[in-house]
Amino acid sequence: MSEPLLEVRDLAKRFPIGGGFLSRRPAAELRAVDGVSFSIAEGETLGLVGESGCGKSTTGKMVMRLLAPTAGRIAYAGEDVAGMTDDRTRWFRQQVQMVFQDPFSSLNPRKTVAEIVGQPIALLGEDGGDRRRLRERVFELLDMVGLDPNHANRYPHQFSGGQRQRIGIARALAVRPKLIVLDEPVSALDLSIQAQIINLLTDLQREFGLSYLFISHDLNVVEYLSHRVAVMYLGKIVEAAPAEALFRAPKHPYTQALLSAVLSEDGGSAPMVLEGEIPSPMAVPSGCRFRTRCPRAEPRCAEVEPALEPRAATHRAACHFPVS
Amino acid sequence: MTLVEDRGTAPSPALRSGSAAPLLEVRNLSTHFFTDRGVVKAVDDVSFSVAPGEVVAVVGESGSGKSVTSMSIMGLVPNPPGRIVGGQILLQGRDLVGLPRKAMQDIRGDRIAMIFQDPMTSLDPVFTVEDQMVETLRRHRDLSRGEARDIALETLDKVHVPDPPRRLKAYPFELSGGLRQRVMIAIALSCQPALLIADEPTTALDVTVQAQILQLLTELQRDNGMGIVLITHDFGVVAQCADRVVVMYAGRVMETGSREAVLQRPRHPYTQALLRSRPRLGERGRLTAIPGIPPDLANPLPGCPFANRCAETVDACWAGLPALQSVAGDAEPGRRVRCIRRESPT
Repeated sequence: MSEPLLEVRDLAKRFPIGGGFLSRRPAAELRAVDGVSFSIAEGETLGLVGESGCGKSTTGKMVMRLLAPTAGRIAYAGEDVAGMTDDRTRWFRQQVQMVFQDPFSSLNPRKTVAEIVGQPIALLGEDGGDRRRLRERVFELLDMVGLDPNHANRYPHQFSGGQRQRIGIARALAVRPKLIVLDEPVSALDLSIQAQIINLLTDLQREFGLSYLFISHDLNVVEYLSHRVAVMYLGKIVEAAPAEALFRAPKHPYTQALLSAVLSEDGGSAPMVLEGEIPSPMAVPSGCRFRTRCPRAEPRCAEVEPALEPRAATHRAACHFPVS
Repeated sequence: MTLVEDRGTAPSPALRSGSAAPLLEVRNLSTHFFTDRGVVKAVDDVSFSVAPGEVVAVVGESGSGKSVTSMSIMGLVPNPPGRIVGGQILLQGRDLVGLPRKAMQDIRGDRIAMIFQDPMTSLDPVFTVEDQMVETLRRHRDLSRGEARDIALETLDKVHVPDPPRRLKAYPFELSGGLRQRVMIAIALSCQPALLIADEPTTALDVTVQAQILQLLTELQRDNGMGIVLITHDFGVVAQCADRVVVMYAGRVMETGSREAVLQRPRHPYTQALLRSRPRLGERGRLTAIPGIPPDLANPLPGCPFANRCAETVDACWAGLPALQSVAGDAEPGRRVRCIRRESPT
């Protein structure tokens, strides 16, 4: 197998909490991401799933280099991103782009669509300073994402939510990236529009061989878009597998509960309702972090933290008593 | 007219047997917004009813008018620019449209309660849970602070808030999202309303917490015989708890019927397309998207509001607004579809 495009090893992000600026030590520590490893191959989509506070967006921000990790290593095309020179960082910024959840706050309301989409190209000097070339490229991009190039001089407020998300995607594609971090790209959209954007993302991936890190809480959407899926709970990956295997036969009780909580239109069986809520990342339970809500928990789960171990060829789960 | 008199004359749901008289009847409701861009007909000639103990889901996308419908029932349409320009909202036979503000305040929180999507912004951040619950109770009932506090504790327990005495002292920011939503439900239920309006009650919650809240709502509705208007965009939620469904689009009712009818035998091309476009577990491949975007309500085109996105249009679809009509061969009472091709097989 070829070298992965993105490789993340033991990535962690801890935030010190309180303590005031005169005290030497923070009062507490929030473990947002607590040792996460995964890789993404060229042309592949990895779905990162979890509920709010599980650390999935913090992981995405670290991959984008918008946040510095507390520990761990991120390698892009074999190169450690932490050691990159300014020159290499420019290259990295061209290679890796992001699409945000909220199509309203992620576009500058005072710039036209042409300016928004053209800016990354101009910033990275890809247009060679040629204004006509830049304009042609912007038109091409708008056409690619299904927007009318004649609307290039309009402002974001003149577009609907779905159209704005298309603008955000055009902006991400502008510098011909290889990896796009998609942070809940369809969560803010209406159902009838969601499908349009999901189809667009699939088409673009096929056409340009893009890799996606797809961050979402919506399992239905994740299954549609992802080749492989990693489920996060309280800062750690608890299960990782090819999408088909994970959705068909989850091994971790948390994944099982998540899947059963997805409501189907035909009613189906009653969901497996978990007790309680996710514990605070400032007070992570000992041993297995899911044990406080787990219907299968035993005394051993409080003592020994289960490692993310293979349960099948490509299927890993961190559980002492996995679902069989 | 005082509220006490009204309670005396209103038919008690318990006394009616068989097909109960509606608890809520919305008749030809039209709520318009008068803006600089023109008149936006956010809700246009909408009718539906809710029987005691029944959950009616109003489904639609943003801009469909579902939230304006619930605001109209609650008497909370911001005026200006909004105004109820026509129709009736009958709660146990009494029309709420045009009631003086004071009378509406007495009904709100007492006979009709509402829970909102976002429990963070709908609870007051500077007051404790106790302050907010006691205030609601004493606004509508002649209770001492102590008595109100006892009822508050009892209600928190009923919605399965762990350790109610401690939560009573908490401020909203000290509670998790799921607990906040439970507290909101407790406040809404504290006066034992006849009708609960739940506007996207689980949209802001995580899936595992969503399952808990839906289970709670179903349980409370069963125990109290309360009617619920459930405003949602999520067909999964509809399948889980609705008895009947009202599908709205562009301010109009497009289809109504029982949950089974609307989900399994949808007749309107919009409902059909919406159900098809939803990604579902266990299915992959290309999604069937609905092309285009919803119409501009300030500049409506003549004809069916869905015509410009519909795959099955004929010329007549553009000629005039189709009526909301029954479907031949479907004997279910209350089954209505607004489509001239509702009887053609698709």
